[in-house]
Amino acid sequence: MDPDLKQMLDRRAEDMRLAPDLPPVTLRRAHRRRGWSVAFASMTVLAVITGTVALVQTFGTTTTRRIGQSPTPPAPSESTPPPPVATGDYAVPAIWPETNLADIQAEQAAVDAGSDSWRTDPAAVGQRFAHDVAGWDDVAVSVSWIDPSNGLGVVHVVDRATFDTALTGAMTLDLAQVGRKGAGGVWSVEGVGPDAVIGQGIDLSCGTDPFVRGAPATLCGTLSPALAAGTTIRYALFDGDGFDVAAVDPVSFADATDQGTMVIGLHDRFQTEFAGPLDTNASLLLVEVLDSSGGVVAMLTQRIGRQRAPVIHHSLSPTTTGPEPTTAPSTGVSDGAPPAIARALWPVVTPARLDDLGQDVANGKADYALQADTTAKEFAVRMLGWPSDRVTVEGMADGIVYRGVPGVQAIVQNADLGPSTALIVDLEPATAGGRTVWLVVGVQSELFHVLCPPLHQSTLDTSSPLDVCGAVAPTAAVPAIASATVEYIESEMQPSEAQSLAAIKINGVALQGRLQFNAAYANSDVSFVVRLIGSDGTVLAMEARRLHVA
Amino acid sequence: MSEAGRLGELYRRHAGDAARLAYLVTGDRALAEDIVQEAFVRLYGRFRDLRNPDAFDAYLRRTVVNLARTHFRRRKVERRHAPPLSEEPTASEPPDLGERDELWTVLQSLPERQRTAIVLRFYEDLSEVSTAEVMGCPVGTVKSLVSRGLARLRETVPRSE
Repeated sequence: MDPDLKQMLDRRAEDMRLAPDLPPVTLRRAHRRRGWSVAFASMTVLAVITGTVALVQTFGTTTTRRIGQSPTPPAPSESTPPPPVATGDYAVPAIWPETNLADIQAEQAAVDAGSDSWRTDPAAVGQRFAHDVAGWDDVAVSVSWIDPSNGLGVVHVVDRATFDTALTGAMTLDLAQVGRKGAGGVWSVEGVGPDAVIGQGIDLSCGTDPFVRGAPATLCGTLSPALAAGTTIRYALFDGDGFDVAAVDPVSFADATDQGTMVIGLHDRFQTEFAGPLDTNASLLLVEVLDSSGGVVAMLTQRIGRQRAPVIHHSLSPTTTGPEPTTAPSTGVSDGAPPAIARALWPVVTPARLDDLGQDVANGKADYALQADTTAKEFAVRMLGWPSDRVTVEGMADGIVYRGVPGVQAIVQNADLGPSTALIVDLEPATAGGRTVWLVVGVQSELFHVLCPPLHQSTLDTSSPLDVCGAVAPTAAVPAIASATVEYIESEMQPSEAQSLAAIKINGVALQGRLQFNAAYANSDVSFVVRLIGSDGTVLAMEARRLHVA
Repeated sequence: MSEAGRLGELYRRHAGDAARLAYLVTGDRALAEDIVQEAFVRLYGRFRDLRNPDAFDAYLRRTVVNLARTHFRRRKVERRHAPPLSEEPTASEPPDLGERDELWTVLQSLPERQRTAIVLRFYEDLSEVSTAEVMGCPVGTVKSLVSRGLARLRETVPRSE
């Protein structure tokens, strides 16, 4: 077969011939593409300027700024040099309104002197960001989580004009007090995540090495299946010299290294290639979700780079179960990164159990854990009860890179369930018994997505019932019920006495329910799992996360 | 040399290989030609930033594969939203007149990722690691894709003596 195949391919390939010289039309297209980028940038800047004028009219003397644009000095001068870098090679992680520590310190001084009091209010910062950047005029802002001691917070902003059950018109803002922490400190926007984006949001690591200088990189992700048809995604990549403020300060759309639009593809996924970051240290990616009329319904920013700014870290999981061992086993992660085991859902969730897994692997009892795809398949078989002979791993993609730890994403299909029903399993590597094993750190499904609690929420408040809501894909047109459970992470997703369970109603494409807690789960990690169950008891789909209860 | 001149030089040197790869992956000559043109359009302007200019063929190969994948993905979406009466045949285009190559026909009926993996492994002679890099997937996936694709070919086309 192989020689036949090789000969056939060689023979067939010879049938394909091109004119030896570059067609003029191709060269023209290349120039046009470059010209289009400039034109697009100009139009964008014009639109932003127009919006800014309107906002100035709305807010009187308030100065409005764009992402990455530094505040304009009171009396700007063309010869005014950019402010000096205050923190060595890196500026601060803030992206709005200021991008560097000097400007933030100046703003702090202004606030201390009685100006811009809104900067000390996370909700007001979220509201102003929505006005200035997304152009949302009538918004509702809710503060989801504030950690005053570390100066971190999360707020959700909803645009009343466009918000619907698909959760367009909603975004989640990561806030940070880069300078002074606590009361009186100014808040800055550190990152933006649209609630409409599901899975791990924007996944920048589909490519082999998205940070190779000059090499094309791939941007991909998945949108809520409930989003309206005609949605498109626009992206722009900004290069920064390690976020040296001198390089970042002038950033605007006109400076985008690459930009373009994507359409939503099969399984509500999107993917495109874009020019890889020119700088090997850091870049900023801006992604906007646009409705059919071009209005921004969601927005996301992500900093990408080999090194993170040392000023502040926004942990996805600020605390982990119990005290970390003083001599933590090697988990195969890079320096400074929390071990994968601290985010694991399955098959083990604690360092001690990771050692057990290492023993099992050594004894040949858990060979599945040696490969990401087999781990994902085993998860589907054991935790969803899918028949082993009907489960296939349809594809693997590089998953989100969390603090330098490359994860992978497995697309697991149950042949009995048909298309667009895949389970999306996120996995991360860890070291057990001297060998690399794979741990499941997150699970989503193409059939539905849980929108509340939002994906970005890493903690759980068990003092009051938990509202659970979400969207079911139209393709899930099968009789089904949904349930939500919370239980100690140590249960490894198996039912336990301390399990809290609630039925979740499905009404059309909407999931809605409320979970009463049977236990406080204080100072513990828990698994939060929502299952979609068919009329015959089959688990059709699952979404699972690991959360911390303070 | 100007950037345009360099593009022309790179085109003369690499476009033929890229077109053959695109054709084997898509089974469509016109589409293959379009993909190659689009790949060069996309890579234009990035040459001076290439960390390793000698690796241009690798960048081009990967771009071609990704563009082909994008094409197939878009086509699936179009099919999903197309009225039932407009259902298309499975093949990417009607077989060429005089087509008698059963192996080729079966290859074109494979899922796109299996076909891409087989072409990269057996036509481009890439290692499993290099194939994984081009396709942006783990090596284990490449092994699986090639294994399944070959199994399908073997069960459909008897071995020649």
